[in-house]
Amino acid sequence: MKFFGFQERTPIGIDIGGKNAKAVQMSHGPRGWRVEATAAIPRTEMNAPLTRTEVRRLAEVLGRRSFTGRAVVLAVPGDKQISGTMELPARSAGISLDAAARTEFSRAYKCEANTFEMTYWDLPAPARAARTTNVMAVACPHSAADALIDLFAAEELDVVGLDARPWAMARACIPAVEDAAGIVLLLDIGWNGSLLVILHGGIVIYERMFTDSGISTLLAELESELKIDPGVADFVLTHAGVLPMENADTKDAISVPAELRAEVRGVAAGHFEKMARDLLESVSYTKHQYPDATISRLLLLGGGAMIPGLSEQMQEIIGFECRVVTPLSSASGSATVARECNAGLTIAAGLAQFDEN
Amino acid sequence: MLSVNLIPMRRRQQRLLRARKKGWIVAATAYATLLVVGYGAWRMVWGGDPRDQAQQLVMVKADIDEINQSITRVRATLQEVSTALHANQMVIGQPDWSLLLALVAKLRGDEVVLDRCGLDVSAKGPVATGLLAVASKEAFGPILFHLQGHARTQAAVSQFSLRLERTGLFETVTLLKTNREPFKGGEAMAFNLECQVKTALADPPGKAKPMAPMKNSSGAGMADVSDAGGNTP
Repeated sequence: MKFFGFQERTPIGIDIGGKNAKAVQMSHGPRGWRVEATAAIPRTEMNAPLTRTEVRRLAEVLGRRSFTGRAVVLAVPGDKQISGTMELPARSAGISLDAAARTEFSRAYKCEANTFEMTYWDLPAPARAARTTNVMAVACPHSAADALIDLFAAEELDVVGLDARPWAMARACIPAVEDAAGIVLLLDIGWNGSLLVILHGGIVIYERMFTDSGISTLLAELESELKIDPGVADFVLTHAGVLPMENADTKDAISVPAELRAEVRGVAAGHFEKMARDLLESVSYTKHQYPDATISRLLLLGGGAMIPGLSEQMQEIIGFECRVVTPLSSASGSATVARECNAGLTIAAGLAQFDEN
Repeated sequence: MLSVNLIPMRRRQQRLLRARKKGWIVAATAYATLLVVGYGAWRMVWGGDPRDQAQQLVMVKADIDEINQSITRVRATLQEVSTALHANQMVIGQPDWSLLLALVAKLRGDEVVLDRCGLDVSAKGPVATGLLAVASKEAFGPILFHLQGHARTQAAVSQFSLRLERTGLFETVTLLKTNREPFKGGEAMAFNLECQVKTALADPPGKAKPMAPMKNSSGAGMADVSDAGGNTP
């Protein structure tokens, strides 16, 4: 909200991940978006359902870290979100597409029509012209939404938006999406898995979760194959990642022994190659739907996108441009905030840009 | 860019209701504050001290009392002036017949002596006096001025009649009777003239001004002026 051209703070975008909870607050004014405050706190117990204690701790951190207001926007947890594409009758007078979509959705996903909140949007017309309306729908059961909202309300945090994660990703990547032609791939590499979102003309047309592509899986592979402590594996992955060996004189790589680094690189490269193959499979499906559209670029976000050398390796594998998106890709920020802005906060930034109206 | 909100609809409606209620409360509070501030400002700028108002009220009451007393005084004066005016108008309404007598005496010349002269005012309606009489001229008939006397000759009577006519004071001058009579050892022409006095001398043509009656409607007084006649013909 803006008043008389002044910067006005957005709600606080909160991204609850398996390993960390991230929060970003932005402002929007005549000079565009600006990141005002960020926070990332580790989860008390990884992958466990969010507890009131964690929310209280989060609320305390928000109070200490220059956040203002009590309005928050959350993403629907991955395991609670139901999404899919549907073919509905062509739009014409006298047909309530909303009712048809709700009925079709409850039939397809076997849930009571009045027990979930659903929304849908039109997909670009596929090459195979048909007398139908192709839509993509997302839904969240009321029970899951109520539980999440009540959890935050108990700590006096007002949930003003419950967003779908693909749209939060798309919003956070707007500048990188807008200047690209054709199809853009967004890949959120998280702790428990990677979420692929495909945009065509700025519209989410596809999403897929790769549950075995998360960082936790990679660390488990490193631990089992190299017999190293998870902490060490995490350190090597964070500081050396999959950078080419000839870059051993870089600052981050110096502290990691070359042999260990090579071994970690090998395992990680294999992990990401598999992820790239899964990604290309999904892209081939999209190419089938929209043969005329070209793939422009792959945008990496999420905690996994911070692994050194990952974007270069992915670009080498998939063959088109790959770049990492941080909150600063679409916004400015003070020097202090800028130091904290990394790809792990990008989805929280997208949630902060949620338009309540 | 599309924003998807999967908060249950009933929660969103409740939230909207709360926001609307909050908005109304804020608006009502702002309005009330504005009213209070406006009233305060008005009192500061135009309100004044209530004590001053009470004082002003007392002063206005005093002014009203004073004006009432003045009106009473002026009414009394008005009554006096009105009475005086009434009296004056009554006096003004009485003609000065002595002037007529003096004029007739001047006109008679050396060859005429007058024995009697008198006024005859005939009334048409009820008697009226003063201002009322002036206002109701229609109530009276013509004023007749009778002259009786002797002249040396008939020609002197005729000359006297003409002189009376030329004065312009009379509508008509009628010679009622002439006959030769013995008079102081000789003979003279006795005459009887009737002059109808103009009653609209000062009026514009066609608009006669009423003349007040001399005495009363029936009172045709005749004065013996034989001794006032002057020279013997």
